[in-house]
Amino acid sequence: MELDEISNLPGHVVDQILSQLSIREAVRTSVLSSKWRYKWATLPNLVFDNECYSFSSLDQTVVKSKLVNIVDHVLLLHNGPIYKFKLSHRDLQGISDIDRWILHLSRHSIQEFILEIWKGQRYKMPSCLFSCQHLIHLELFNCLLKPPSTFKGFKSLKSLDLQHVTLGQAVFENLISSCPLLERLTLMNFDGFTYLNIEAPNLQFFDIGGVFNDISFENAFQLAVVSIGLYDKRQSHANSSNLLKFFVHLPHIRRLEIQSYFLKYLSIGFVPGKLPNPCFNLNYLSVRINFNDVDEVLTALCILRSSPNLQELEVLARPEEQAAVGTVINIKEDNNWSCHQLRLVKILGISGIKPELNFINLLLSTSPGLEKMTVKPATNNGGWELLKDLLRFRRASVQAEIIYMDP
Amino acid sequence: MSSVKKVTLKSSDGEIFEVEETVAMESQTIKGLIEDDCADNAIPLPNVTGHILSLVIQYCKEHTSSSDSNSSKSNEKLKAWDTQFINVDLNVLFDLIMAANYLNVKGLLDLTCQTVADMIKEKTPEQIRAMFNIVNDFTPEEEEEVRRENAWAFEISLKNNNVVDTFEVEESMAKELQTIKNMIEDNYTDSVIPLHNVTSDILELVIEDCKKHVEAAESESEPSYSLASKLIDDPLKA
Repeated sequence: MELDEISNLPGHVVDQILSQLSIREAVRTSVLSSKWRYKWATLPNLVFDNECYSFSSLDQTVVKSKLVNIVDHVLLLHNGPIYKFKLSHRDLQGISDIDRWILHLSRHSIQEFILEIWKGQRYKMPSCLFSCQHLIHLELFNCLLKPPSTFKGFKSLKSLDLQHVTLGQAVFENLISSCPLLERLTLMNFDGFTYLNIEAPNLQFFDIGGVFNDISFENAFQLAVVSIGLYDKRQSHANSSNLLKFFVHLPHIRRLEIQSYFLKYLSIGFVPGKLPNPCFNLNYLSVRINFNDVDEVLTALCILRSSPNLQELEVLARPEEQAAVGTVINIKEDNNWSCHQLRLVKILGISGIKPELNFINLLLSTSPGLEKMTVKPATNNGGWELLKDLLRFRRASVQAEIIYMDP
Repeated sequence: MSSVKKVTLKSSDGEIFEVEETVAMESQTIKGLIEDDCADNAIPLPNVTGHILSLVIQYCKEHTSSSDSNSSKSNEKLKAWDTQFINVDLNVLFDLIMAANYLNVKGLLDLTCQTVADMIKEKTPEQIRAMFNIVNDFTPEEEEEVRRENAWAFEISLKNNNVVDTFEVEESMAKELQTIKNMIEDNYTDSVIPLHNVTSDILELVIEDCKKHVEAAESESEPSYSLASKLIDDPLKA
């Protein structure tokens, strides 16, 4: 008679095994034997997503009532703390049942809460969410946040991910500054606030994509990984130097991505040849640039000159309206500057215009350690001309490979 | 050139293993002992046999050397190695789980638990019991009670070809229909079973009929066959 080893595994090991199954399959183990009847009920992680149940009916009301039935059922039979709860079903709209589930979770020490409303309006989060003091990770998609006046912050929150959300300016600032342990912040497609004043002393990772007027890091000196995308090209001209203001509070920055129109934002105001304090830790830079805009090119060069330890560079050309026609940017060779550590370069989406070629030429001549440069134009037009020019450029690095990729 | 620091591990059956310190430290348990300075002599591991310990050490060796490089290529190779490594007998798999748990080797515990989960996925309860030697100690009434308690997880949907109508049916009822019973037992546990040859009207009748059969069986009266039910068992005719 073979041993039944699986039924005698320690509880947390069984939890780990059952966590790898959909909630439906985990619950089905209840019928295996009397020992198994409630093994699933102590699962600390509950995930209700597209896999948990395949709805055969396309009727919205049927799907909705089935989903509500399943979540109610599982929560009622569940026994013990619930550390992680994820609700993300493609047919899920903002149903008021969510409020009472969050209330239930707030009474069971919830640590990770993920809610994704795929369809419909922004779902207004109930006030009980803001009393979940054990929250470590909060992830919301298509929600509206309006905390009660008694809200004093999430004291344990380390990671916050808000996408397609609405919250007021004061609410946003209060939220960030009242979560002292916050290490990771993701904000995508938000509305209700336009000034980003980031006060988060433990913040290390910051990823943002949206429309905003102004950004400053008042108290975020630990920031190491930053990715910023400004989706709107209209700019306000309030500051004397956006570039200086941006970098003055980022001494530890290691990885930086400048996307969409953010470089344009940085080019407003005074742009020095070099930053007063070099970014010693910056080893990866990705920047989207409009090569027709002189200011943007100068801003990008300023950043490059101020990053002595840069190893990887990615440049994405933004084929903009042909603005200042005939503007030739004379990039003087600066003998004081050399990208000693630069090994990998990717240049994508270019069209072969003069500023782009000058830029590439400059990079090649100032990077003695270059190993590989990949060039990929936007279209095939002028591909041959581009190649001929590339061939001519002098290279400071003898082992540099230049790889031309077809668009 | 300085020699690489080694630690000595002793299995429950007395086998001695000399392992590089960095490899041994993949085990948080051993790491703790080393850092607490308890590792001068051989570290006894009374809960792990020599055979299993050698496997764990193999795993740790492979995963220590790969922790330096971050390229996707080595990740793929590592995954392939893991798949090959974990292709073992069931009792060895469970011994590895217990060893990974006791020695606190997170990667190995994740790998072994995922493997067991993959074995459970998409199997019927009967198949799972057979695979893991689980004895079903429920009485029929108790089993019925459990299925009722978690009805949503045991429902099977029958739908006709046009995805127009679906019928939620309790599993025991669906099994009345021989064809569907076979589909269930052949692992068709995706919760929706398409029935291409049957229109909604007929399907409705059949289900009604099955309900009566199940109820009749419970009350031990003589079941009467209907035309619709015969049709289902002969898919050509429906």
